[in-house]
Amino acid sequence: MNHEPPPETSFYQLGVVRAAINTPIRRFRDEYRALYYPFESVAPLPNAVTVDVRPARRLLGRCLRYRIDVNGRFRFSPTKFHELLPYVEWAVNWELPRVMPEYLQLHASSMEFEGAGVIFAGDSGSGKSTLATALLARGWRYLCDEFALIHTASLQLHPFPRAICMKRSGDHILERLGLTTHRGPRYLKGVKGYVSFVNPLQVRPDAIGCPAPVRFVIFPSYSCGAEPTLVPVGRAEAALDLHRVCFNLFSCQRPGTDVLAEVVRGASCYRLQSGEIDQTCALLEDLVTGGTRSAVPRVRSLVAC
Amino acid sequence: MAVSTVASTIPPPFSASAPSAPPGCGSDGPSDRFRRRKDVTVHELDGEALLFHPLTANSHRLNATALLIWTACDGRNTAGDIAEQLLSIYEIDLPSALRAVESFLDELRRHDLLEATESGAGPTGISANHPAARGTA
Repeated sequence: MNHEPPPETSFYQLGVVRAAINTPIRRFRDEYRALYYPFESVAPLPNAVTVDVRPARRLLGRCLRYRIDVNGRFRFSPTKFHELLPYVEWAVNWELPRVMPEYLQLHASSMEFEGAGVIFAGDSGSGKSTLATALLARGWRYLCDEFALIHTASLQLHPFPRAICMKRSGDHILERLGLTTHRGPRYLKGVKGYVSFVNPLQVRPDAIGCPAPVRFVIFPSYSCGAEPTLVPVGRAEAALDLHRVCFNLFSCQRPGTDVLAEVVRGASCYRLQSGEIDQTCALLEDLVTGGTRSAVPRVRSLVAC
Repeated sequence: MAVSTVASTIPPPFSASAPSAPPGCGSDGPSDRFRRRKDVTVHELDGEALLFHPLTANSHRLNATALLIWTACDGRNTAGDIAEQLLSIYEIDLPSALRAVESFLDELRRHDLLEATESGAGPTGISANHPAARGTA
């Protein structure tokens, strides 16, 4: 006998990304809503990425396996409830290159500071999310911790304010910045292990940035105890490195290399050796302000979960 | 998510790590002329360039010297001609320039960035449009 409640759909407008979460699992629906309630839309959103989350296998009333489909295609089958949220996030990300060809999509975090768009491009573990979180706490505005969405016509960076995903190694940073994580619990995210989510709007109510032209392209790498340094990098080299982290070079509306070349033409490009987080942030603030605003007051978390 | 392409940086022709080869040891003879592929997209950026090959989906970065050689691959110049052009810019001797040019042309060929052209020069590697060749014609 099937006691499964009927699925319900909730719609979310996350910057330029629209998501529809369709699930009969009330606990998950509540979990997702608690993280993204400021972005929930009462009205259905057309062309949303639709994520179906449902139990796939039960035993004695207990769910042994879940199933996640995106726009009708099977994507993941996690076995634990606390894997669901990271996998749903991942599933939405996975679909974006297909459904949003008007954006060139880079694996990078993106921030806005006083109208200037900044891309932090690097491999996993280079400190993109940590930097985004720390800069957000110091007054920068958040666009995304995992994507740089560049509109192929306007060449502007657009927001996709998903929750910031922090690995366990970033715990001490969150603690130092006085930031709280979503509901406290840990989520399990594949090879990254246990992660937590920081809701940018819980850092500051005006945390979400506006579309902005790309003025800086930064390639961070983290080394514990290193002196933070910025080294200029040539635009051709920067474009090549951005190419390496591009998700949809061939499926966006304009040739991806044309977009990348135009983006770097309008930007200053640097390699960042990041170290102690406050010094690193101060260095970046000196860069984007031309040295006129090196000490931005830190903003502490306004809302405790 | 996987990155959709593999990208590479073509080594600069005069870098210490660039492999050098004696003139004429590649698959082309000394009289061959070189032409860059027409379907390769080129973006010049601060004196360097980003090339994009639409068929292999690879991008390549050229430094200033590499860009100069690439530009010289217009279907009329041989390796010798291009090396001569480099002599007017860099303080190197002709054999060194020729080695570097041929090494770099090998690299371009390896990445399928050159089109085939017909041979049109004598055994010295000096083509018909080379000043030396014009002088003796």
